Amino acid sequence: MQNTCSACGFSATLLHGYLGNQWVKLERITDAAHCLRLEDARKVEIILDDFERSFPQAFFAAYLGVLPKGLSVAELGFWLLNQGAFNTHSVSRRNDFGVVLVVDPAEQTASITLGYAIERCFDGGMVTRMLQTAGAHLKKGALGKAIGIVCNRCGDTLRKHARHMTWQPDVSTVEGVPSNMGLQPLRGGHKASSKPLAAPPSATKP
Amino acid sequence: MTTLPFYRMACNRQGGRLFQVAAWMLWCVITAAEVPQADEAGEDPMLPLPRWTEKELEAFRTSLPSSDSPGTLLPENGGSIADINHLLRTPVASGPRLDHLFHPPDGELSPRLKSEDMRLFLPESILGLPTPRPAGTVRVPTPLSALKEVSPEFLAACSRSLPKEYLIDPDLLVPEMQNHDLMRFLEFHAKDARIKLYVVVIASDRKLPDAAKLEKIASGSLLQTDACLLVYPLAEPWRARLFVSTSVHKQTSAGFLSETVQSCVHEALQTSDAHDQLHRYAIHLSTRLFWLQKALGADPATKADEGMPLAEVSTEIATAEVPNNRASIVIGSFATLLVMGIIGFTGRKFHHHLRLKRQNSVWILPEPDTIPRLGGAFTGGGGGMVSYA
Repeated sequence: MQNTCSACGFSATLLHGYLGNQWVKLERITDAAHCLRLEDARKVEIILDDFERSFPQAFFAAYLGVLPKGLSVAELGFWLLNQGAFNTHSVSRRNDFGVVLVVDPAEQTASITLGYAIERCFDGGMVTRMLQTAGAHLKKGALGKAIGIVCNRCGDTLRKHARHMTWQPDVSTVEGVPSNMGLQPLRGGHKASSKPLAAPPSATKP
Repeated sequence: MTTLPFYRMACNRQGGRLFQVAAWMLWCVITAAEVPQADEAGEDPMLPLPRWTEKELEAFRTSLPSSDSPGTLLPENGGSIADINHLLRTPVASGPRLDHLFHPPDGELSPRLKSEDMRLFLPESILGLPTPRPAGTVRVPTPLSALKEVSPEFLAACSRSLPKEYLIDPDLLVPEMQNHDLMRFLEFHAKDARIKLYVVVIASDRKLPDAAKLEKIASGSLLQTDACLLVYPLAEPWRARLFVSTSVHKQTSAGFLSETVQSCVHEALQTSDAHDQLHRYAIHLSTRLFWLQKALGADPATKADEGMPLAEVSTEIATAEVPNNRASIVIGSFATLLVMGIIGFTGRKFHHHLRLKRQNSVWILPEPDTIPRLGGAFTGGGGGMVSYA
């Protein structure tokens, strides 16, 4: 196992000293630079939903922010995918099936970071072409469109290496457990009574 | 006084005294009977002559025309006419005039001589008057069912017509004046044009039989040279049939010929008079034939076509082509739109199907065993970076 880059000396430990090694909670779209319009954000949400629906194991996340000096988008992508807890529909998604797009609008740089499980589906040229296509839209300020294009291209690439299945509803999660029905209690909520709702009439002794 | 010679003659014949006395008495009686007419004083009271009373005389005098009334041909002052040439050159200013005595309506030269009377001996084209048309008669096109074929006698008469007779009108449908005009025009056309123009006039309710041998018309002269035969139903130019020599027909586009027919019909319909329609049709057709001759060149007709029947330039071709073209355009447009609509609908359905299929599909990625790199638990920095500045 190689912990340090032999060429530049980069390692996770180096980043932990700069950004920490704690887990961070992240949404699928983190707009730290406040450059994404609400309409674009909604459209991107739909695209990301479709992606996660098509690939139950994988997820796509985007981070838009101005990075401090000395930190590149590729280094931040590496750190986010290793330390981030992304708020996806299914907690079971592992980060090694994740794709993180990091955009620095100030430096006008963008990077794609791939998890271990899916990085072999992409080659270097493919990632570069996706970033160049996205860069053309980013240059025009169409961040939402750029994110959507990268996500769709990733989906197209992953389909070539994935096994097709028909979607089936997950019935195992609700069997015998009412709390898995999606009904969340308020303040502790109503506790299920052991008594039946309507007691059968019985004879009382005086 | 007519009795005196008779008396002298009687004296010479008889010579007797007694007879002379008797004759003298007879002459006196006769003379006495005649004299009262000349001598008013000795009139017979039993036979009074009509006499004018003073009142009647005055009424008569007042009824006499004045100096500027008709009947007074010379001015009252009786001015001398010194120079007759001067009088002829200058308009009459002070002489008697007739025009103010009556107020004729337009087109009438005098109350007695009306424009209708002028038509009896002057052509209307000279008079410049509208053609009299019976009130309430509107020209109705003859229904196709009412059309009758011309008689064999008519065709025989057409065949007997002379080669130089360019206007063939056996039924004498064209009036004499128009006939002469049109004939002179066709002769003038034939003088200069290579394509001779023959006009056969038929009645408005007639048509040519299908088996009519048109090549016999004009003693077969239609086949001797380049010719154009116009079979013209009077007053119905839209039913006119045009035939041209086969050699001309082969060298000419159908579009030009059909356009010629259409143009001639349009020109004829500029007027409502049936004979003027014929005249206009012939003039326009002649012009078109000159155009055609110029387009074909000055070479004489090829003799190879001698004996071949004439080719018809049917008005149906001209009228049918345009609707056909229009119909084909409409059908083509409709078919194109239909095909495009079907393709669009199919594409939309296919896209919708793919979308549904994709929504109902999931892809399961393989889970390979990987060795962590650079200390990363989930990624080893795989991917790429680009600057889009």
